[in-house]
Formats: sequence, structure tokens, C-alpha cells
Amino acid sequence: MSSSYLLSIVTFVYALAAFFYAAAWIFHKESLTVPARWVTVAAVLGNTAGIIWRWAESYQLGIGHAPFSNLYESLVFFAWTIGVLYLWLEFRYKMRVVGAFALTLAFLALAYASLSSGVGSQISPLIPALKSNWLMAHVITCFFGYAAFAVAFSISLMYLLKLRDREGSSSLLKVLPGLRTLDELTYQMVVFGFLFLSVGIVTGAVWANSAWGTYWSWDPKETWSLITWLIYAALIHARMMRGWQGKRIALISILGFCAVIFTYFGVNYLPGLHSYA
Amino acid sequence: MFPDRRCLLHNKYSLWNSFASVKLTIVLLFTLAATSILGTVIPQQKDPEAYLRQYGEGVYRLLDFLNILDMYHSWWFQLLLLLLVANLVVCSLQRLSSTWKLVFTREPSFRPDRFRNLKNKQEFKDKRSADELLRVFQPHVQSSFPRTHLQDQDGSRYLFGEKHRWSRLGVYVVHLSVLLMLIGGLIGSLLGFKGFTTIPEGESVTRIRSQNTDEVIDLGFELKCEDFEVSFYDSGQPKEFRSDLVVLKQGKPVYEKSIRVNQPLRYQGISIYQSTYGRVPPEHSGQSAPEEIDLLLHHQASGKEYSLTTRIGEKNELPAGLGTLTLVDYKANFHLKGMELGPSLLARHSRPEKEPVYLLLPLNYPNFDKMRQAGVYFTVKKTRGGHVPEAPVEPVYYTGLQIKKDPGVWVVYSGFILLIIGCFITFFLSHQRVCVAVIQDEGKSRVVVSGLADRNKLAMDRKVEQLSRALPNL
Repeated sequence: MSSSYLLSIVTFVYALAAFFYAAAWIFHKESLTVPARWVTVAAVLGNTAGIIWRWAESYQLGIGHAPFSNLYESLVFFAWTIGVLYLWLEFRYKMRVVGAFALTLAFLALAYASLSSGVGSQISPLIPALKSNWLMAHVITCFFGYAAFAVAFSISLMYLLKLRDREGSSSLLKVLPGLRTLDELTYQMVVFGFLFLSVGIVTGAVWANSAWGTYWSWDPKETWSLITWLIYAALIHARMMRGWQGKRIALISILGFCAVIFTYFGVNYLPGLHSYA
Repeated sequence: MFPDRRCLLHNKYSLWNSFASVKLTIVLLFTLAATSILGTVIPQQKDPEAYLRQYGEGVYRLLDFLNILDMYHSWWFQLLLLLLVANLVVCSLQRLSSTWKLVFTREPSFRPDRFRNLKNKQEFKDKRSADELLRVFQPHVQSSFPRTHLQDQDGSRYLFGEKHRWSRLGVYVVHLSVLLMLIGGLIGSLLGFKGFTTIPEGESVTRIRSQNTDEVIDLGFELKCEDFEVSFYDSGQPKEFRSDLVVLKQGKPVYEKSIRVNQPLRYQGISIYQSTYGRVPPEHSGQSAPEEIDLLLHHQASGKEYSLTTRIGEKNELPAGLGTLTLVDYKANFHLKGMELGPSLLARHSRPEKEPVYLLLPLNYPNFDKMRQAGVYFTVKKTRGGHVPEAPVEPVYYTGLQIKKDPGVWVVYSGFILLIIGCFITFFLSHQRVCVAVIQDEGKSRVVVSGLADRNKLAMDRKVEQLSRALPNL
């Protein structure tokens, strides 16, 4: 038994949670959201345990470091942030259908980490550039930002689905929260993500300045994080100042999440300072 | 002959107005995002040959013409940034004066009619009189809206409460932060420099070459590398590089520090970063090949030994028909399967009707060649001339340092801090105003609660709901 084995089990717990939420939605069984929530809590706890365990394992190997140093570890943390953020959202806004979408994303992130042959799960020692106190601050803030954008993306999808059926003829879509709530929630998640992305970019810049002597070098990942930031900045301006709402905001939110995905995965195929994660 | 003054004025205002447009902001933000993609797909600032190989002549010329090969420093990208700055400044200035008046007014005015038709309006009836109600309501409203105000108008009584009036300034903090970051970047590129240098252990530099302009820059002090250490993980990955640096002025040490990746040295506004490292080639580390070599040839079958004296590159006829021996090369530190053998000679032994064999003769391990078990082996007796160390030497390293001066970095960092504070204020606080109207109605009191917020209206709606549930039970 190792932490990566536990995390591959957690993958399926997330899948189960998403399944319960989807079942509650599709079969109109509100009662199913209760087990769904507890399965989600179990998945997040298991995910937490997996991260802490992996941390401890790295110390047993004599190369102790926080588990935020490669693609596998970042995917595990990404799933965790989505899980935590979703639970907070459910607690705060009492919206349950979002779980079917958001937890599917958490499941996909962990499944990619555990099952893809391209993502190594071995614990490797830190290269000198990663040995910095900024590593944790940078990774944690970036991934909370990414997770918030992922949840905003889920809500925007729901918005567009619901918009196609305004008369309420589909009983599936009727259970979704109202358009105004979905719209407002997308925006709330976007500004939350925007704040965290900003802090993530700032901590990354300060770190780069202490490691390489330059806070901004137009490295592809930096540039893509800026592209993401610009897209969401445009969304916020469009909404705050021009009063854009609904469909257009949902579309920009989806576009923004595509940029997030490219910042996260696509850039690994381009050369640059971030080629390790 | 002169253009109409009014027309000029009008043009001036229309230019001003077009920069005051948020539509322009949105267009600029999207344009910057879209064009930035180019530079991540097309490698930037590479050698022309690399581009020619990848794209061919025609495409290379086109990309070069459009400045796409160094697009983030191109005139059109900088122009886009400048337009964004102009847009941001004009927008902020245009709105700041009215916000400023609103935030810093001595006596904020409350107008009941602004609250009358709000969607979040909640109503209830109460038997108590208006005076009594307001007396119990006020402390409760004040607990969540610290500034309260009582007002009578048109026979009704109003209790107003507000909070976070100053949060309307948050957005200007964000805009100021963006300006500071860009200005800081500009200061850095105008007044700073960036360069790279290598210093072998024990040596020093006083000048470096700038990376961008190729100019030679005088550091104003002497930088010496006393020692360099590199350690590796078992996997062979580098674990840590460390340079022990000393800053000297007029030959006297004034500051010293061991630097690592992530732990730079800063002295008089100049920062020195550990970047790379390498080994100094032996000819630069005071070693050179021996001039004359005395060898012994052992013939195991006859038990005889023959001695010969030779030089590198010389071909020697060996006695007893044992062929020829040529010393091919000298290595100051020969590596064999991860072992460092120290100074070594390489030789070619050709025997009649046999393939020539290559021999390794490490000076510090005289019987090394015996291990070949070939019937004939060579040992090195003595060398003369050149500079050959007695024992295997520690390799001499050089440290690769990134040296930079950036007086704009603190401006950028203050921008960073303001960006975070400003975003927090703008997104999570809002100027919330609540109005509790008490209207006397046939011996009863009708109470209407409604709220106004400049941002995050959903949160305001919840507040109004909470208030209207709490107030009747007070």
C-alpha cells in the first residue's frame, strides 16, 4: 500500500460522488444528494490523506519536500481543490447539481494522474530551482484559482444548457437553479479565481526574481497565465462596467477555462522554465 | 487657414471620450490575450539560422518583418500596452472625481426615493409606534451597518445604514497597481542591466557584458569566486550548487556570501544569482602535458623488459618484432566508467598482422595496463616537462552567474501588493446601504426594508432578507 494506491482508490470515490449527484438530478431523487455529499466528503478526506501520506513518504526517502513538484502531484492537488471548493459552494449556496459537473472534473484530474502512462507517480528529489518557500504559496494559490475557474466553467455549462430550454419543457433542466443564480454564481467563482490567479502570478514572479533574477521573462507558461488573466479581466470589466450577463459571460467563462487548461497542460509541450510541472 | 478652434476642442474631447470607453478596454484585453499566444507558439529571440531551418526563408522574412520573433518587445505590442494604459488612465480619471466626492463627503445624503423601487424590498407590519420601533432597530442595524442616520420625510421615518463606503476606491487601487507594474518594468529596462558571467574558482571579475545591448558594464567592485561546490542526488540529478562569493573594493573584501539557486547576493543595488556551472578545461587550470615520457615494455613470455623514451605524437619501433607504439594523446583527467583516473596517456599499439589496440596509461596507476592480460604491457616510469600533478586533482569548476541591476523592482513589487489588496476590496467588499422605512398606517406601523449595493447584489439581497426576518422579533 502506498499513497499513490490510495489516491487511485480516491479517483473512484470521486466518480461515485459525481454519479450520486447525477443520479439525484436525473431521477429527481433529492434524497440521493445526502449520500452524494458524504461520498464527496470521504473523497476529499482520502485525497487529503493521500497528499499528507505522500509528503511523509518523501521524508522516508530522505528527499523530503512538499508534494507540489511535478505533474502527478499537481493533478492530485487540483482534484483536492475542486473537491474542497465544491463542498464550500454546496454549504454556502445549497446547490447540488453542480456536483455532477464539478466532481466529474475532479475525477478526470485524478484519473489522468493515476492512469495515464505519461504522468509518473514516483517521488523525485527537488531540483535546486524548486527549493524555495515560494513553491507552496505559488502552487496552492494557482490551483485554488484553477479550481474556481473549473467550477465557474461547470456552472456556465449548466447555464447554457438551461438557456436552450427556457420554457421549462425538459424536466431535467427544470431542477437546475434559476438563470439569474447561475449567472451570479459564475461571476462569484470567476472573481474568486481571478484573485487567486493574481496571487499565484505574483508569487511566481517574486519567486522567479529570487531564483533567476527576473520577475517576468515571457516564458510560455507565464504568458499563458497572463492570457488567462486577461480573458477573465475582460469578463469582469464587461460585467461590472457594461452590464454583460448571461450567455455572453458564460461563453467568456468557458473560453477562460480553455486558457486555464492550456496553461496547465498544453504548455508542458512547449519549452520553458516550467517544463517540470 | 487655421482649423476651427471649436472643432479642435471637439476632436480633443472625442479622442478623450474614445479612451474613456470600457468597450475599448474589453477589445484591448482580448487583443492582448490573442496576440500573446503567437509568442508562445513561435520561439522568441533565437538565432536566425534556427528560424531558417524551421520555417524556411520566406516565412522567416515575414515573421521578422512583423516583429513576431521578438514580439513582446515589438513596437506594436508595446503600442497595445500603451493604449491600454491610456484607456485605464482616462477611464479612472473620468470616474475618480465623482467617486472621490461620494466617498469623502462630510454629510452623506440619503434619498428615500432611491430605495423605493428596489427588487429586494421586504415588508412587514408591527403594532409598535414608529418611535419605539426605530429605537430598537437602530442598534441592530448599526451592528452590521456601522454608519446609521435617521431622517424624516413626507410623514415617514427612515433609518439608513451603510458600510464600506471606501471600498468604491478598490478599483482605482487595482488600476494604480497595473500602472505601477508597467512603470516598474519600464524603469528596469531603462535604468537597469542584465548580464551573465562565468568565474573560475579562485578568480574574479570586475566587468560584465550586457545581455541586451552587448555593452561592457563596470560593476564598481571586484567579484571573486572563492569556491564552488555541486552535490548530486543518487539519481545523478544536481541537488545543490553553491558559490562562495566575495565582493572586494580596492583589493579588500567588503562583503561575502555563499549563494545558491533561490538565494542571491545583493550588493549596492546589484543582484547576483547562481545560474549554471561547469568544469574548467585542464589547459586553463594550470595543467599541461608532459614533454618526455620514459616507458617500460614488459614481454611476459620471455620475462624481458625494454625501456624507451618518447614524446606525444611520436611513433616508436618496438624491439623483438613487437610492432610500433604511438602516444596519441594526453588527458589531464581521464574518465572511465565514472572513475576519475587523473592524468593519463593514450597510446596505439600496432603489431604486424593484428588490429591495432588502444591503450590507456594513467600516470598515477603505473600497472593499469597489466590488467589487459595481453602478454605485452606498458608502464610509465617517469615524465619530464609540462605540468602534471602528483595525485588525481579535484576538478576545477567555474560558476555561471546572472548579474542584474533593476531599480524598478520595488515599484513592481508595490504594484503586486496593491493588485492583491485592490482585487480583494473590489471583489469581496461593496458599498452597502440599507433603508428601513417606517410608515404610520391606521395605528399600525408598516416597515419596508430594502438595500442598495454597488457590487455583489446577491449578497445585499441576502442581507435584506436577514434583516427583515430579524427586525420583527426585536
